[in-house]
Amino acid sequence: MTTYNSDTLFKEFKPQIEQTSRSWFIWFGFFICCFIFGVVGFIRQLTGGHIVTGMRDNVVWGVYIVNFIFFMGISYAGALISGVLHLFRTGWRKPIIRMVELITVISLVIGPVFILFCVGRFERIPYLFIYPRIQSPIMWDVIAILTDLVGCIIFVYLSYIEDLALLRDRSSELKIPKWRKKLYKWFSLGYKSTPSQVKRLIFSRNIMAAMIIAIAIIVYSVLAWIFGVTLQPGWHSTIFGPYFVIAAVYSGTGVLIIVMYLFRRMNHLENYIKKQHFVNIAVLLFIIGAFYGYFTFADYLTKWYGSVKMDKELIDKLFKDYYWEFIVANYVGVLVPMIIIAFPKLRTINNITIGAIITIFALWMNRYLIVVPTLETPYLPIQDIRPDWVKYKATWVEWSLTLAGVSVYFILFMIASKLAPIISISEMVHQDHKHVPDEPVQIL
Amino acid sequence: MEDTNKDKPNSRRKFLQLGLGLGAVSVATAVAGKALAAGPEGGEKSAPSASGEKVKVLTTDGKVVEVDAAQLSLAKASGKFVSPSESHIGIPGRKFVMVIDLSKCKNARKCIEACQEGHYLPKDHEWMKVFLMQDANTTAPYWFPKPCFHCDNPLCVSVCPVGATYKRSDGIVLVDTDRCIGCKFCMTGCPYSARVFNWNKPEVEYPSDMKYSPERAVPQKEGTVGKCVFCADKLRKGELPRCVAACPMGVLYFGDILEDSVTNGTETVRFSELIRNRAGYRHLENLGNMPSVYYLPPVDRQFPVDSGYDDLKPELKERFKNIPYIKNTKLKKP
Amino acid sequence: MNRKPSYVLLLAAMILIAQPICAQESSKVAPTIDFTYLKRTDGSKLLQAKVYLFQNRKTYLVVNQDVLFSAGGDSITRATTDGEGIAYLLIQPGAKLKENPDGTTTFKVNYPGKDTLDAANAEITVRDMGMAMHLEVLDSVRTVHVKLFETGKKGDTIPVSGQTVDIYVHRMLSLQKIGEETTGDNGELNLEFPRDLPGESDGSVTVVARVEENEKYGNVENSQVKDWGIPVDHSVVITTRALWTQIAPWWMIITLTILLTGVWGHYIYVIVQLVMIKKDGNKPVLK
Ligand code: SF4
Repeated sequence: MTTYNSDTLFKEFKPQIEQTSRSWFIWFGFFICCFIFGVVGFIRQLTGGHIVTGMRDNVVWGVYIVNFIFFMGISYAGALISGVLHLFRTGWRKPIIRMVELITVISLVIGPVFILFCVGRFERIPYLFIYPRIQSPIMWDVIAILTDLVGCIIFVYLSYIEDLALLRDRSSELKIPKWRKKLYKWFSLGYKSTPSQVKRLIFSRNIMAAMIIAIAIIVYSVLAWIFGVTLQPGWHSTIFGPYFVIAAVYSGTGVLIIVMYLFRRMNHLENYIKKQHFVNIAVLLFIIGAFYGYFTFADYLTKWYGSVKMDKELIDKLFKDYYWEFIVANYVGVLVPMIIIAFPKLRTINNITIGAIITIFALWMNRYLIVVPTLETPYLPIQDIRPDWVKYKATWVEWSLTLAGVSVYFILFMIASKLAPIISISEMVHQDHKHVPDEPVQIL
Repeated sequence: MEDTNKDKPNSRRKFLQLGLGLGAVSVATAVAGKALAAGPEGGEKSAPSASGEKVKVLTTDGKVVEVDAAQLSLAKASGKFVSPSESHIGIPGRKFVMVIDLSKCKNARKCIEACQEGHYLPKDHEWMKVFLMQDANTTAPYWFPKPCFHCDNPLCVSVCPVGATYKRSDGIVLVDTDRCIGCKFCMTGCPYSARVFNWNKPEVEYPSDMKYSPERAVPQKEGTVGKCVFCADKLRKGELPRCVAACPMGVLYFGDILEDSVTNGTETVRFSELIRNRAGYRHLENLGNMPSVYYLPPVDRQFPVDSGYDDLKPELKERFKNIPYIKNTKLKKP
Repeated sequence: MNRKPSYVLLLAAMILIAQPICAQESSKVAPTIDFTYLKRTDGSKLLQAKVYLFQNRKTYLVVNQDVLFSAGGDSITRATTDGEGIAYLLIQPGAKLKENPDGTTTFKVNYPGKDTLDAANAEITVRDMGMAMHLEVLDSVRTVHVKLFETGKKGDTIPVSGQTVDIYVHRMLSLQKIGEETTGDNGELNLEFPRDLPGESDGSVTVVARVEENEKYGNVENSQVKDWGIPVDHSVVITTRALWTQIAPWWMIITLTILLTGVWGHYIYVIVQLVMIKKDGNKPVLK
């Protein structure tokens, strides 16, 4: 059993927040370029109107909404995982908990931005607060996302306080600019680990962990109901709430594996994030993946047997026009990661990461298949000669903004990992209970 | 030439209405000693005197002359201006209903043209659409004009997050494009594809003095939603919606369900009788939106389906190329 | 550019090229006048002249233009077309109009023309006819009783027989026909009024009897309000559990409030804790 002490950890992580390597800058520059590309796309959309996107009267929601669901999914998953791991005092969570929390907050910041791209008049967004109509699922979503965002920021902040206090106390040893030291001082709230402070902090963190689990479930269900409450074939399904929650956790877990992999390589954390971490998370992925597969199957099975006219048309379309996408999203995306995890021989860090990448991609595709084909199958036939009115095809504007969204994700992560160690020192040092080992336990 | 006559305004109908209208206004302007009085006074005089603008028209001998625009007007004088907030209140004591007689429709598209003209819509925006429906390969095709159904349980209104679309006491569902944020939720909510989005700035000119009212919905604004408004502005003046007035076949009937009366401009019938005798129904009743638009099934047709197809411009014909009937009869290569 | 007139413009341009410019100076367009005559319930006569141009399958209304009416040849009155291109003349009941030798009266309307608009004329010759209508219940049958008559030289009434009268009820957008009858020798007719017609909220309906577009008599009408309709409840029916109303259902408001206060309450609690932590930090640490 390894016990860590804050002094050694501090020394070890010090260089990571003090120096920035060349490759860090190169990547940062690369992502900034992608971001600028997105800005160009956005300006094009502002000046040219929404006609520059691929969205038309039938497919009124496109890649933007897909990205929105996707990022929100990742974030809620993060919340769920971090909340659950925290509440259950899972010992092996310690090195990864900060990453999970960052995943949550960062994707929660990026996701809603895609809504702004999607609405025709984003300058009227304040109307949502001036003239709210709470019967609208969009209103539920606005309220829920704001609540979740605030909650997650508080939760993450709580987990940062101890580390910030440590950085503040030892800032004389850090070779970093003054403003950052000030930042540490200011945000550590004068935390000195007095018994009352410790008690308050632990208590607050427990409350927030519980809150966040609940909110994550509510928020993602609400998001699903935006689709579920309509009469559109494929959307009008009671299973959508839980289905979205599961899909979200699935994609979030996948992202977690990728983030673990990246930081492990970049920041040389091999001593902290071990293979067993990957395997444990992968097992989680396996279980959730099984649920996800089951839900998907249940949803399509009932539609297929019932064969309501519109459902049938939709399923025909999925198996004809969207054959490969459907296979990737619902077969490959479930089976491949599961197979990788099922056989201990295949369970290497690289394989697991590949499985996670497949998961992420499949889940994005799954959302695409939920949004687009349904809208291409309205009750009244599309009788139009303009090809873009009949079939949705995202334009470069939409892809540029998607790319920008992903790069902002990385940019924020890179910045966050420079502000404080990506592994929570205080978490590592603390002992939850005397008998809980800090080594990862093998659960499979 | 025949067409010309069809398009002429039905002056008799107008007159019929007027006798009563004036009776209510009472134009008692009898001047002592003189039995004649010009009336009614205070009528809307919207056109300015001598605007300097010219309208070019043809003389009978085929020459072009310019007439001062102040003397000519294409549009009838608009009624009282109804602001967006006033437009939330329906016409008191009314509940509007439309009946569409599928047996008479031959896709003349006059309703669509009148609608686009009256609401200053771009050519590719059709608030009224005419579909060629063929429910199954083995069933008969028919023309299916479809405005907004102004449902009594409108999902589009339920889901709007800012109350930009609303249902009034007279049953009309309107969109306030000053309020709409363009989230398009209502478009996914509507199972009848009634709503049209303004993906870019509509490239049409409308009279510059026209103030925006959701009742007429001119002008349409970029990034917001538009749809059929049952010509609420016309109804305020006691006139028929533009599509109803324009249909040369009398396919569209419009009226007040509380009065149990619908008219297509030439014929006025009792709504309940029409629905009973002709087995009227509502489209996709099973969805539970309770439309205010009823259909009379296409039995005993007055025109063969082909007549609506053959006269179309090629690009309009293209629209129907996937309909089994058209595929089998029109597009089949020998 | 409004696309409709542009079509006209295009035509115009084509013709302009083809024609010598000077030719258009003398050309004028002649509007059409739809001229109608209606004798109303109170005995007044309404003349209506609609002035318009019909071109390219479009109607141009001639608005804000003065037209001249004349009744019986002498009295001339000026009226202006309104925004719908219509000018009205109302002749009060009992006005003595000059009659033609055969007892008819001629009404004329003249649009003198202006600038490039040519003059236009229309005239109607009608015989004055009276119409009386009684709405009464005869043997528990609701009966519309109409009588047509002419007024003789000495003020006596002469029944008009063999004329078709249409009976309507007034509706918002049109008149709804409930029947038609021809007057008998005594100039009278009876029509049974249906019992199942909806009326206003108090059951009132406006019954209209009309002689229409009669060659001899023009249009003559008589209308009366009677409570023969079925009272209609005009209140708005909102289906139970409707979600489209402006105000949300109460259960939704309550649920949302509970959820939000629950969650935000905890947030506030945690924030208070943070403030306390900060306060504790300011205290000197006791060893
Ligand atoms: S697009 Fe406009 S009208 Fe439709 S739901 Fe959104 S805000 Fe309401």
